[in-house]
Amino acid sequence: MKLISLELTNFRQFYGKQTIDFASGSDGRNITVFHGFNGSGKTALLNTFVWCLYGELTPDLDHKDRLVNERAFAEAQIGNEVPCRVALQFEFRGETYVAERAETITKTGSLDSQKSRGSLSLLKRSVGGETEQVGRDEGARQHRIEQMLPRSLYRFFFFNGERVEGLASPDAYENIEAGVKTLLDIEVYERGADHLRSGVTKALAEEAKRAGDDRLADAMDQLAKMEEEKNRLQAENHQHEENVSALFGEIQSAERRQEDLRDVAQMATRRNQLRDEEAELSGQLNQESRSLASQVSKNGYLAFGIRALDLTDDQVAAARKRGDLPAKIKPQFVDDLLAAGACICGRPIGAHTPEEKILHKYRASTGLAELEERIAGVSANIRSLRERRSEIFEACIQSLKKMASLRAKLRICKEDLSAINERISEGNFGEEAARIQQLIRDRGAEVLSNKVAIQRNIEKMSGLETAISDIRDRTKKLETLSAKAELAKRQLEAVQRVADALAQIRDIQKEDVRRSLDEKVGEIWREAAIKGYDASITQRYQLLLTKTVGGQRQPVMGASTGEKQVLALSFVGAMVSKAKENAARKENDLDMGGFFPLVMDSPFGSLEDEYRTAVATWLPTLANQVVVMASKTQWRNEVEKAMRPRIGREYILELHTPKKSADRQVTLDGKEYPYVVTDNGEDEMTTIRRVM
Amino acid sequence: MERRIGISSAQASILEDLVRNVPGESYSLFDTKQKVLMFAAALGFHLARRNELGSRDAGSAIRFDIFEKNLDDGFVHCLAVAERGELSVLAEAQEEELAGIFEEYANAGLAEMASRLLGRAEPLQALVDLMLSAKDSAPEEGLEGLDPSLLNDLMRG
Repeated sequence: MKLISLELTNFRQFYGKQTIDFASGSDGRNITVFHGFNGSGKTALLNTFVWCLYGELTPDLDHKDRLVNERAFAEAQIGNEVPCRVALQFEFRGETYVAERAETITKTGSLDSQKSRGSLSLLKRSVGGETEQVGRDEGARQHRIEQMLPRSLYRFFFFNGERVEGLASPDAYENIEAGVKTLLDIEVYERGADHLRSGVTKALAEEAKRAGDDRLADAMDQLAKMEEEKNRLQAENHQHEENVSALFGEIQSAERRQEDLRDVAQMATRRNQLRDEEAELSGQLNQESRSLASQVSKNGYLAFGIRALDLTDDQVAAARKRGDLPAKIKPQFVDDLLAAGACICGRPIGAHTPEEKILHKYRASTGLAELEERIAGVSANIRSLRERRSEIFEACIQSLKKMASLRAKLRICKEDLSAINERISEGNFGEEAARIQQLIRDRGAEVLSNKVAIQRNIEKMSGLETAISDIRDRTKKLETLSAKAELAKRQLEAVQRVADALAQIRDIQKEDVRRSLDEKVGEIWREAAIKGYDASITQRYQLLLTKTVGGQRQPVMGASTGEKQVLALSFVGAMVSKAKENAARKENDLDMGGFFPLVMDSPFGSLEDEYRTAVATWLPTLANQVVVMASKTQWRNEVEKAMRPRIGREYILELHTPKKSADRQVTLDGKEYPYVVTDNGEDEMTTIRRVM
Repeated sequence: MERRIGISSAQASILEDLVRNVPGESYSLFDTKQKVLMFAAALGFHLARRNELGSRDAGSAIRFDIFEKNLDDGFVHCLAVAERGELSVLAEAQEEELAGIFEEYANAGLAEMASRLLGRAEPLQALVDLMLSAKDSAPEEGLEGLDPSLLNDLMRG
């Protein structure tokens, strides 16, 4: 399958109709690159292939029920339809096809919608240029697509680079075994054996019955039924195993999301801390201001009055010096003498006499006596006023110092808060974390119940096998009642032997393919040149890294995520290579054409620096066409340098966001391009821009 | 009729503002109008300014005996003594004189406060700055050897 172009209409982040051409590899340039910020649609882009061809979505796509673009939906009138479409144009064995899957959303409310059933069309363009619809119905079209690239294999060709390392985990053997079996179309042998055991046996039972030999007929009937039951259990287990694979995929995605959330949760906790701190500091600042104001209100005036205090003190001191204070004679006393007209000694003093004049003179000079009480009061006060004056100054100075320090702390606190707010939005992360935890638990329980069912079926099948072999023995010993019955009996034995032989051939073939894949995986791994390890597929269909220690091969414990990723990619490369071989030989029902694309979201994510250049050089060799989605941090110097000579098409998934000051650029091949752009729309959306 | 301290119409509004909550805060600069006038009178004295009352604002007058009766009366008397240069101004008969002096200083002080505080973002700071600027005239207040203006800079930072 050779990818030619992709047309998206309102699919996920991609607003309106957007088209992509793929690098064909004709001039040695077989890489198509998409650069995108987180959330710009790299995963959505991966899903366009999987959704268009198979109607499926990858596990790490969230909100799977909202495929239609948010902005297009928001802009539509209530009652109108919003189309959501992906059309993939590709070439297969020299013919051009366009597969298109569409969904129509009818807007029934500002947030409500009704989804129409999705439709699939597959047009084939003939040499003359006319197009015709392939197959008489969607089922037929889906089947045709799966003949070109089988559903059970798509995970090896369209995948999330960060999840592919999962193939290298011990639980991934079902995926690997399934891939191997599909590739070989081993199903043919299995079906053949099944058919012989149950179908043909049933027919022979009829023969025996007609020949009148009931005992033989019964025995054959029983045999047929048991074989059918065994097949049914086998098919059930097959389904269970597929379920387990899918569930593991979901669990892995969820665990990844958990990790992200832990980071976010930490920041949210810090933010709450800072908010508390801010409130506390503001409170303290307010408190301090209030207390300062109260002090100023009570004693502030004293700041200005020092001269008044000094001058008053001086006056009092002077009066004391003069002898005016303390007053020696009270005015009242002299008044009484004047009124009595007598002196202290008792001698009468007449009016207008010189003695009376002297009394009046004394009276005049007692002036301050009246005020003595008041002056004493003031004098005493002055001392305490002076004290209060220095106290108020001291209090003001301390208060201002404290307020300045609080203000400085508050400023820092606010800066930290705004930094965090830039990085995380408001949101109850606790809820999501709890939800994901529950999801992981639930899926884990489902895995368990599937595995239990598988085990139970295996036991049942084992029981059946014993019973079957019993019946076979008995049947052999049965003496038949007629020549026809004897013939049926002998044919039954023959059928059993052929079925056994087919099963053996199947096992041998499977082992053959595994061995050849094992060799290939080893070869491809060595080309990536990592650390002197070897890579292989075990007989239990597990991907394994081994190292030679003292002449002995030992499994590598604790391979890094990056190493597992490369291992998984090596397996994918081996699959592609094997598929090509098969196509060349065209020896079975499967015809995959020989030309294979690899579409990878973030293949460089977890790789250690030392591997990046090696992997970047090696990736383009894995398949005929390579499509890569990468973020800015993943597309570092070594990677760009290694891949640049083989890039045939380059695009930027330009993210438009209403968030302020979110603008970012990316530098590609020395030139700068917009990467994230602030715009006025209410929803985020992505525009695909061609760079090369 | 008991003596009241009158406020000129020009200063009546600043008096109201100073006992109201500072905009954006939950406290006021002064608790009562009496406290404002004490501050204003002291300030007026410090600046050696007396404003004769032009037109009186009808509702703003405050009874003078309030000033005399509480703890601060010593200060009011000191102001009068300092102004007149003699102790006799403290006599009962001079009450009118006393109140007049206080009144004129207070109104002058209010005018100064209006010009310094109106429209300021941090009026409390301005008030304290004003106070601290008067500190320098009495270096024996306990911080010998330390240049007070240094402290002012510290405070503002």
